Amino acid sequence: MLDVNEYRRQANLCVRCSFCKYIDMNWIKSLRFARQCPIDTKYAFSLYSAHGLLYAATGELNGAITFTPKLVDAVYHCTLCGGCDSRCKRNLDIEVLQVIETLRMRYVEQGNPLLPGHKELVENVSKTKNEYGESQKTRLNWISDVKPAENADVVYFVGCNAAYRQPELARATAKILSRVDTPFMVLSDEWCVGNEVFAIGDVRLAKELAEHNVKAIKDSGAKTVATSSAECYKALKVDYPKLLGKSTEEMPYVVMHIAEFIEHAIRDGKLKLKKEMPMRITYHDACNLGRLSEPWHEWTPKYDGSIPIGKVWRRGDRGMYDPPRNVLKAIPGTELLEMERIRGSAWGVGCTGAVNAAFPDFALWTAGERVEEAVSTGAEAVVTCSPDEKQLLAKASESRKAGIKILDFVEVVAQSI
Amino acid sequence: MTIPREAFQALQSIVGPEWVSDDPAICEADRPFGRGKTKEIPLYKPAVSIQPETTEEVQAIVKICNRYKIPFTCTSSFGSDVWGIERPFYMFIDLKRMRKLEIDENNLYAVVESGIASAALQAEANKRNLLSFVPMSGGECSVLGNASYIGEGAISWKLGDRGYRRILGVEWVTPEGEIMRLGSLAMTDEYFCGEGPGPDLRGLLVSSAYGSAARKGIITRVGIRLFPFIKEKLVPTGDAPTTFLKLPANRFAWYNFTFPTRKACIDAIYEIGKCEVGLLAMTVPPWFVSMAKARAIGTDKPTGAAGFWYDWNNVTGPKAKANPEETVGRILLYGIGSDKRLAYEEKVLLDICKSYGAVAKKSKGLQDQTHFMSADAIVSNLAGGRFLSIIFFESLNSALKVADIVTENTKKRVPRIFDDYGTTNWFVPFEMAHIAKEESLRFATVEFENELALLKEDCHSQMAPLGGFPMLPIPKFYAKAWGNYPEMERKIFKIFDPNQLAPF
Repeated sequence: MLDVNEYRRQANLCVRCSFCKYIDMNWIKSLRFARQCPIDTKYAFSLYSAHGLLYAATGELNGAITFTPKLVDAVYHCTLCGGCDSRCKRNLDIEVLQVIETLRMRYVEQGNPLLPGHKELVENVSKTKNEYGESQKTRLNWISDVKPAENADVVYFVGCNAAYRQPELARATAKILSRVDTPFMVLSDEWCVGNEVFAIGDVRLAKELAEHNVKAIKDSGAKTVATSSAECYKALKVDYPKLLGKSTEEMPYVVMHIAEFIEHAIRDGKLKLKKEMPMRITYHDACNLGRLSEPWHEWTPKYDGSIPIGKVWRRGDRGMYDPPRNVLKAIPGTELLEMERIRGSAWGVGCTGAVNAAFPDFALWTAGERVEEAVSTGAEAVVTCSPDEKQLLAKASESRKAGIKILDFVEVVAQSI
Repeated sequence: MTIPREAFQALQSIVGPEWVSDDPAICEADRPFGRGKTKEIPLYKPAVSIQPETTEEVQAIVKICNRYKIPFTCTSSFGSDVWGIERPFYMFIDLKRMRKLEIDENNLYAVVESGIASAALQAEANKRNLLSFVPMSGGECSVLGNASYIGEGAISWKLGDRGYRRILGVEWVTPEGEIMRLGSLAMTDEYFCGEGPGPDLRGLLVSSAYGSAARKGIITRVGIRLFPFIKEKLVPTGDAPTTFLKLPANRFAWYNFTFPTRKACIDAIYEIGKCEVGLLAMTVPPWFVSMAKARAIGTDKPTGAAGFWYDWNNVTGPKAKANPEETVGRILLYGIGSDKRLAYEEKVLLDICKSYGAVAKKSKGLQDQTHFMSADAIVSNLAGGRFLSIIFFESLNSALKVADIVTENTKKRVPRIFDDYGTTNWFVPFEMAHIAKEESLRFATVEFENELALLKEDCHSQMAPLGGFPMLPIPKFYAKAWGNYPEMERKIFKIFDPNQLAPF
């Protein structure tokens, strides 16, 4: 959470140039897919955009406005996908995303009522340590015939979705880790990673989850955390140090996405993807794995005039864009077709920002826009590194009768091994 | 509720309840830039914000405004700080839902609605081997809004000056709510020609001299000229936010020339213009170099504001201080017809620059960051947090005079305002040096924002007696020079806006 002076400073720097509303302009290839911000595209009022939210942040801070129903609606429709933040850092370097996150935290901190979908989610996580309200005792049911190691340098952080909703993805991940000669453990008491709780602005609960999981990882003795969930990857790498007042490099572990394990194994000759998969695919950059995944650098605001002293920037250009692509390209017979909005300019599909929990129709529309973009490439399938996004995109594909398959990265790779 | 309930209900019936709001947060977000802090004009926030989707909806809204005497203003892409209305309880008409675009490839024009961004039109035009303009203020700017205001781009060097000169047929909702169709649109359904029956009324809608967004009503759709372009594609490269377009080497060449004096540079630009060489040409103030380095993300050097100041204080600034007369010119050669044309341009350019004592440097990386699709003028905020742009449209010779005045006035305010050692002035000639934009960019930290406002006033007060031709002249300095023009204009506006509801 930004301190109040930094919050005001950042919000005040907005000159409403509207750069935040379009993808990186050198990458614009058509009118249809030129836009970056889902809420701006759908709702059009300035309040439903980064510039509007920054203006509202200043207004709320100064007492010019309160959290009106429209402001709450706009703040929580924002997908926190970070597209605006990266765009703004082409020219102005404003911490747009942190201002919007802080605006949410202020809402919660002031004791305002959570939106119904968020209330349910927070209650579930608080009581059962997973988003779905399932029993914690069944979290490891996915394991089946998988045999995790007793002791290893790597611990596999499964995440709620793969543990409870798509266990085949957890098993595919385990299969891949085994094939790349990486013994791994699983946590006996993994809790929800808390990315949605943090996004809602419930810092207290998010911190509790972070502290628990960090301790569990530390106690396991593992130095590396493996995950195949974009959401878990970002939470462990970025949100946890942020919540705990540290930098990513100060955490007692290193987080690696499964794509990195596979890419390294292919590069080192330990793995060859042999099974042919004749298919035209397109890859969707999950925001949490892409522009939002850069390491967190804890910084206490200090300025010399306009120069932030000692600040390390996160601008979205160092996200994990290439490893998944390199792996997919290595699958025999697979042709990778790119969408127009890719890498740092990828369109967020509505799985971030806890939007799907509060506004499922909007999330579905957002995912539907991505599905249409994918269809325009001529691909037969969309591949993503996020179990949550796979589910939402699949629903959108079905609702728009797009006829395009939605696949998770690990299931594609596991099939080609 | 600050407008009558029945008016609000009428608006809801026009656009649907979801597209009109008087929620305080919605209105706060539409508050004009400056958020009420600017001393020159009070910047009120609107009482109601509305999002029409068609010309007919705009017409109906404006009629409601007239019926209930509600002042109004409009926007389509924001970006400017001049459209704040100067009275409370007004309606904010946001046109960004108007996003229709059609391109007539054969007849070289596009029909755009208010919400079409310049970069989006450029992308669609490029797909068809056509070229449009991305204004220097940014690719996110509305084509219609920007072209009807200034609309110049770097490629105005070759393809024409002001944006409004590229505007063809126009669909216009007058301040009273009449729909007027101008140019060829008056007689046909086509937008190919700007001139039509009777006097050319486009002059009431456009021009850069002064005015406000909706002063003469609301333009909802225009035809806009496009130009033939090469078949080779400009290839986007790099990860956001550091991206560029790779330019085809058989069609383009970038050159930088270091001239011993500013005058030599200007004289050479005149000569280059006479030979009709290049797609764009301009001078490059030294601090642009520091800014470019600040944006070289991905290197191990400091970036952002820290990167700017590091380079300016240690590398580029000292050089500029040691030799403030030295001036760099930059030109993009353009072989539109053939590579032979490119070779010809290259030869002519080198001959001219040599004769003016310039040292030539051909850019190795054939790329463009900021002239075709994107445009990064807004980066001027980066180094300080606030910047001031003083823009004059002059002959190139006259622009030197403007630059000197800005330089002298800046010196008085250093270090509260950035010290560029008298080298900041940016000359962007258009139409082969027929006319030029002299843009002086100055910056300061937010705490010295007021110094920028004072600098602006000083410069304009001194330029007015010299016959300066500024963008957005300040009436208190320039009104004398206008003679009876303002009075005649007032009479005309009264015809079109009898209730005086559009901004004044």
